[in-house]
Amino acid sequence: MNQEITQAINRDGIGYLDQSEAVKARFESIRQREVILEVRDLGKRFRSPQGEVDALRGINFSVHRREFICVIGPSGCGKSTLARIIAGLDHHTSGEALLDGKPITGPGQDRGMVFQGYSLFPWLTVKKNVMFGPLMNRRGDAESDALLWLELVGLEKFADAYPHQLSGGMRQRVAIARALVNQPRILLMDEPFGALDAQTRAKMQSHLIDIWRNVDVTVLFITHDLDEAIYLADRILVLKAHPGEVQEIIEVPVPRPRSPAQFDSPEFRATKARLAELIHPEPEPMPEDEQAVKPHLIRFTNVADNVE
Amino acid sequence: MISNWFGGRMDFDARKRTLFAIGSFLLPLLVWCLVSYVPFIWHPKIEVTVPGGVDYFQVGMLVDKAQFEEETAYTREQKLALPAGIPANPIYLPAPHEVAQAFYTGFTKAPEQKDAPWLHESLWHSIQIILWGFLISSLIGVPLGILAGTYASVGRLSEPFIEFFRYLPAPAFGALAVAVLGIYDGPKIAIIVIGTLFQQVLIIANTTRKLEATLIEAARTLGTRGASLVTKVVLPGILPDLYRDQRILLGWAWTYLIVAELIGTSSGITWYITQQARYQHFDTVYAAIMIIGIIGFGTDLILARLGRRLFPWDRAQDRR
Ligand SMILES: Nc1ncnc2c1ncn2[C@@H]1O[C@H](COP(=O)(O)OP(=O)(O)O)[C@@H](O)[C@H]1O
Ligand SMILES: [Mg+2]
Repeated sequence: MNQEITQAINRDGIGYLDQSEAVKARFESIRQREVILEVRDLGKRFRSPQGEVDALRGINFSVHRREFICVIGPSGCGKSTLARIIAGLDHHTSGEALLDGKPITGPGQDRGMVFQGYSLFPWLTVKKNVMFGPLMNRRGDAESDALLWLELVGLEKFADAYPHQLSGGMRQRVAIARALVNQPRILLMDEPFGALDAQTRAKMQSHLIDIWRNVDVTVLFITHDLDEAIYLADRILVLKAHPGEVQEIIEVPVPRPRSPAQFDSPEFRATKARLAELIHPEPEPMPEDEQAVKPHLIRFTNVADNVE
Repeated sequence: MISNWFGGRMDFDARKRTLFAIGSFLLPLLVWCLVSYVPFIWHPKIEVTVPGGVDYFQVGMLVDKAQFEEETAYTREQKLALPAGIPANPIYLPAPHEVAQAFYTGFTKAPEQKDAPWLHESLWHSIQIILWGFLISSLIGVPLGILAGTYASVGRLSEPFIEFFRYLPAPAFGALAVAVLGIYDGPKIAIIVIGTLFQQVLIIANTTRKLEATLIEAARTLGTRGASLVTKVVLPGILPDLYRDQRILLGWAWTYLIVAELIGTSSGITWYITQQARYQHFDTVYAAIMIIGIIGFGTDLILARLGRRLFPWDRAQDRR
């Protein structure tokens, strides 16, 4: 697998750092925009009965307005912790996180969040779910706002359905609408499509790009799927685990507008090869409980009864 | 076929479930009918129909089989007229039709003693005791349970003591309750409150803790703070489960009824039952016990059905 990718790079003669003129210009224009989120020397230490864990250490990055940032890394590297700190659900233990220059102290409607699990309120209809934020903040005409955003995610027909009547993909669309109706400065998404099947997932990715193109919002998107990260992101923040630190911030050289056809482009493959290198440098040690499982196979069928 | 019957819990369709539910009532009734109407099953007594030469026998009297045979042998020996009788069950096991009749007359015929309450009056008194007890318990228990489940500090502060207190048997407080609240309805309601409240706090606190944490976090990111988190997220989030808990707790409150009514001056259905038992009207006793079951079970069925109406989003309500 790895070899194949290396050969592809050789054949194309393109590395992940090579950017076309258009891509270079795009990154230049992104850098001109104001900084929305600034994370400086951020650290998070959990104290648990098993001892202290540095979930995050010395994290530095900044995000510009309407930039699409993906955070990628192996499981347990602190991706969720980072998103939760920015959302204000967790407190960091060192450094600082600034939104529009102001330190983050708790949750607020300037930051929306979409969770992996189904976080819709099951007792509310789809429309009422989306109205929840505006009603909480006593802002504007909640109902017409909600309907507008439902239309944007293509679910206006399901306004009066309950979440349990929707498919997984539809629920996540509602969750996106519910977060966006508050018009947050930044949308935090913690592996929002992780539980979806491949086909729905691909559809949701294109849909998310469409939304992002049409709405004034900055996205911080967490994933552990390399293709997803490259397909969506302007820049990818690559984390490593134990302790959670930034390994590299990659500017994705794949030009926009993106389409699934680009999955096979030289830039895409080069970037993927680099990510694979960073994230799986060595086989991850198996967890101890998995090591203890040693199947001992006994033949339960006739010796002559072979399936392959 | 057999494997079909023992198949998973899920493939019980609605019709089959109803059939089995009816069957679960018919089976014990069938056993009762067999014991009552088939003369050679059990029937340890003989009901005298002809006293014959036995001087203390009377028509309708119940005697042990052995005793009857002894007396028959004796009269035969003495060349006296032979007694006759039919196999019968003891007085404390009336036949289904007798209980059914007592059930009917309980509501239609005035009680034998003057001033004694009718069956339905006794029942209504009991139901009021339950409802007051359950209401008072819920007024304290539900909010406290929700707070204990939401805020760790409230939980840590209240639950250990409640955990201890719930092991104290409620009837043990009977004498105390009478001393404080008098001999009428006060102490009875108090016993039901003591029997229900402590379980209620613990159960509801537990239900509250089981609410998906993501829901609260999602609400916080949408700008919900402070008391709104409880009223707008926790409460509606646990409501279907809370409702189910309350149904179960109401059932427990019923089980405290009889002990509660024995405290102070006996009253309600308990008084009715003890009176009837004193006069050996066991058919009426059974009828009265059964009506408690019917009211309790019926209420629960109605509440379950209502739950499905009230919480259309909660599919778990359909399961019961
Ligand atoms: N509440 C917590 N208490 C203690 N340790 C935690 C807690 N939450 C996360 N951690 C630890 O922090 C690390 C990062 O977790 P997380 O942010 O969930 O990783 P990811 O989302 O990348 O899989 C893990 O090692 C995890 O065990
Ligand atoms: Mg995670």
